[in-house]
Amino acid sequence: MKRKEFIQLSVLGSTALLIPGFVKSAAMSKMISESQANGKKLIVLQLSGGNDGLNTIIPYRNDQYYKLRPTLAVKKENILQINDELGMNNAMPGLKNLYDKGYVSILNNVGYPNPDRSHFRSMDIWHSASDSDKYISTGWLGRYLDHQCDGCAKPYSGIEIDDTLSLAMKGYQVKGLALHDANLFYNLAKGRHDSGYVQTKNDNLNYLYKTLAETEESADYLYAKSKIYKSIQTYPDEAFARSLKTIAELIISGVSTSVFYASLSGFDTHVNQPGQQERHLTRVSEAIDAMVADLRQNNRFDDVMILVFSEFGRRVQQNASNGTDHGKANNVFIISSQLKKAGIYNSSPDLEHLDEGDLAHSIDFRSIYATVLDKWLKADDSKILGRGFDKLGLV
Amino acid sequence: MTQREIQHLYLRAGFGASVHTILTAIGKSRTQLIETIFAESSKPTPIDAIRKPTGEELEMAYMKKDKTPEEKKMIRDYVREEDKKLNLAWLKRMMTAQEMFNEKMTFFWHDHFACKDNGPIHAQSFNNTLRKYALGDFRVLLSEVSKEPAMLKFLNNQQNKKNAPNENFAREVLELFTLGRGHYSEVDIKNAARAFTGWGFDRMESEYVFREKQHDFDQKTFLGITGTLNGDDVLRIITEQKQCALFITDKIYRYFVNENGNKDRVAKLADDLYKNGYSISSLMRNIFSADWFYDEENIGTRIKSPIELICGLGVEFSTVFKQDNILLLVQRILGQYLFNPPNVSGWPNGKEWIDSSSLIFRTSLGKKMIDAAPIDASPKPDDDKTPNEMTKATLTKKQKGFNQMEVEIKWSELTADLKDLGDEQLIKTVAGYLLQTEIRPAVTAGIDLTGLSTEAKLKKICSAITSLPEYQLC
Repeated sequence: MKRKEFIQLSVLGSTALLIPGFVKSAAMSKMISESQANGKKLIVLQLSGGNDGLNTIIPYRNDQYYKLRPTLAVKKENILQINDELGMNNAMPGLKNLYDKGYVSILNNVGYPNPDRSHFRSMDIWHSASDSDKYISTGWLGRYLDHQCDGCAKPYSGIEIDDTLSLAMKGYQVKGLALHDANLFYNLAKGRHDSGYVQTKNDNLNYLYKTLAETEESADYLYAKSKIYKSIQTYPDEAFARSLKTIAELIISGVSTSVFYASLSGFDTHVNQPGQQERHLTRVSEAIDAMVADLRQNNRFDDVMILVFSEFGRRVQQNASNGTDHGKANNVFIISSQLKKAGIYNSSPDLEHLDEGDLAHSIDFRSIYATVLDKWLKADDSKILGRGFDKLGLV
Repeated sequence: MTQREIQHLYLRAGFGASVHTILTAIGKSRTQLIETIFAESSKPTPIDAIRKPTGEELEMAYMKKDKTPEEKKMIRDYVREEDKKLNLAWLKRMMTAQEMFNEKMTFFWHDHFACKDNGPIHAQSFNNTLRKYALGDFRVLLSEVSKEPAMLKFLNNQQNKKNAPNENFAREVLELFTLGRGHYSEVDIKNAARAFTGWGFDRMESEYVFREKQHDFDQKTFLGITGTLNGDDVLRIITEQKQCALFITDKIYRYFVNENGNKDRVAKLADDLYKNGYSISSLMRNIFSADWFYDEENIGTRIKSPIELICGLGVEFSTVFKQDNILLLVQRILGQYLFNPPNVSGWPNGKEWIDSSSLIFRTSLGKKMIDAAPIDASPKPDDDKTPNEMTKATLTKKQKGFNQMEVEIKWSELTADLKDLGDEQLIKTVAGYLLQTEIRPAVTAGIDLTGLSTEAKLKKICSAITSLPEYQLC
């Protein structure tokens, strides 16, 4: 018997003991088949506040860049060179290491038409995947969960490491789960469901009880699963790295969750950007590097794709406070061992032709979503996104 | 009226009722109680919570280029502090004011005319306009809202000029505020935008101004009417459409009666609204007086929005919240932070509020309040309000007890009428006040009150009842 199979069987053993009576055997067998399916996983990492993409992936040969950012521009000698145009901020050796292995694709100039400079609204647009003059009350990943098996997906099919659930993870029928730790969540959720409840004509009350039942079922499932693998990989002792460690542990433990979500805030660098941004970039880079190492060590990295985004980029010209203000297009990272086109995906930002002082977008972020949904998660992207978007040759 | 009907009216027309209020209402006829509620809201008072900046401060904020870091910090601090004051003033008023009905209507319009403004002066002024006309003539409300600096700014009408029209305001007025999609064309939007050119506000005075030089005085055709139309003409033409009365009535019906709507009733109500000169108070009186308002399908079937949940806990227990920061924190965790709707289409609704994590938090909130327990969760960061706020770091344990729920509940007032009841009867009686659905025998049986004092019993019962999914409904 292979190690993985053994682990799966032992999970079922321990799960069976913990499953409360209201979870019928049909649900049990569904859990079994799901956990053996070992489908592809998507991890979305959100950099909140508007990460300055130009100081993350630096156009170190561009005079305009140095002209518009006299004190903020990263000097040539301080970069991790990628090619003869671009270099990575040297706060990110971990990510550079993954880049050199061919695991990273950098997409430049990602944005959407008529961009909004409000953090909240722009994030809303990225989460819901709506046009900037439309309003959608569900998120793209939530709608993916809706479509997974016609609304039969469980809350644990999508997990966000946080106290509250992002719009991105809310579908019409299925909404993901927000938690920090499977143990804590188990303690919060246990005993809340009342198996004596009988459905009434009150549709909303039925919905509340159903949600509670699913919550407890999900909590039990994750609690049992989370005991299987405790990481031996070294992660930085920080909240964001702990989030990624939790994700890696769940994946390696064999949860059937297909979408994971985690955020790091602090990228809104209007004042004294240098140092501040670097500290955050280091956090991101080290955490991702550790998680990828953990997943590789356990032969699970091939099933995982990581998408790193921020709600907007920042103004090209620095402001008077040695910082940058809200801008438009930005770069996005895709990290996976299965990339069709690793490296720099498209042309560098055009600093000669700015849109009101900002980078103009050439890739609609929904093209990335469509590609990930279609090629990676094998889902019907145009149904989930409301219409078709050009696919990219990423995977 | 039955006790349940009384509570239904108070839950929908306000944010619930205390035991005292319910007992006072028992014995009144439906008409009497409705008239009492309307009378209590006949004179809405504006909120006056924030410190108005001095002329010099405004001058610095608006006119001075190259502000020093100290000046920028001063502005940020001012906005943050006054924002909090405004938020709390309104939230506390919702829980305590006599004119709770008018505040509920204001809250409805706050969602309908969803608007965000980082200037506390504008936000307060906008809110007071909603309050002033909340039960008035919808046409006046629409017109006044359209001239509020907060709205003109939020929907970019400051940038709407003759030579470069900005359609944002015109589009949202038609789509979200008055007619709904499918009742106008793209050409109508373009022409409406032209009619609104020159509508702006003076920053120093925080007042609407008409900028003649930026206005397009040429001929336009809007919804089939041609002329040298201005913004007021466009708003008038809109409200002359029966569809406008229908759109507003449908939204009010779904909010105050049943989220599933009812075509025939709404058509009839809208007809009356149209004939009654768009009187919102007449519409609301029609609704609350109707027999169908008290039908089983409409009672206890609405999922409370976060503000309704928080205010309910405040009103029903006559709670005095001693930690202002907790009230702000809970709004943010639950996703409904007053004055900060997610976008111009307003807040989520009904089931949209509920996911596993939010439900766990919502069903534990009452118990946390009663036990004075800590709030051990963090909201998402809000960089628009507080750039780079490190929520986890700042909101936990920075000061000891900072996020502790500190409240004052006068249990003795509640116990006065209840102390002679047997345990089972006590549970049923309290549940009767707090729930609109019957408490199930299994739940009652699960609450063990053996050996407890009356106050301890009440605390235990209320903790148990507020943690039921039933308590999420109103």
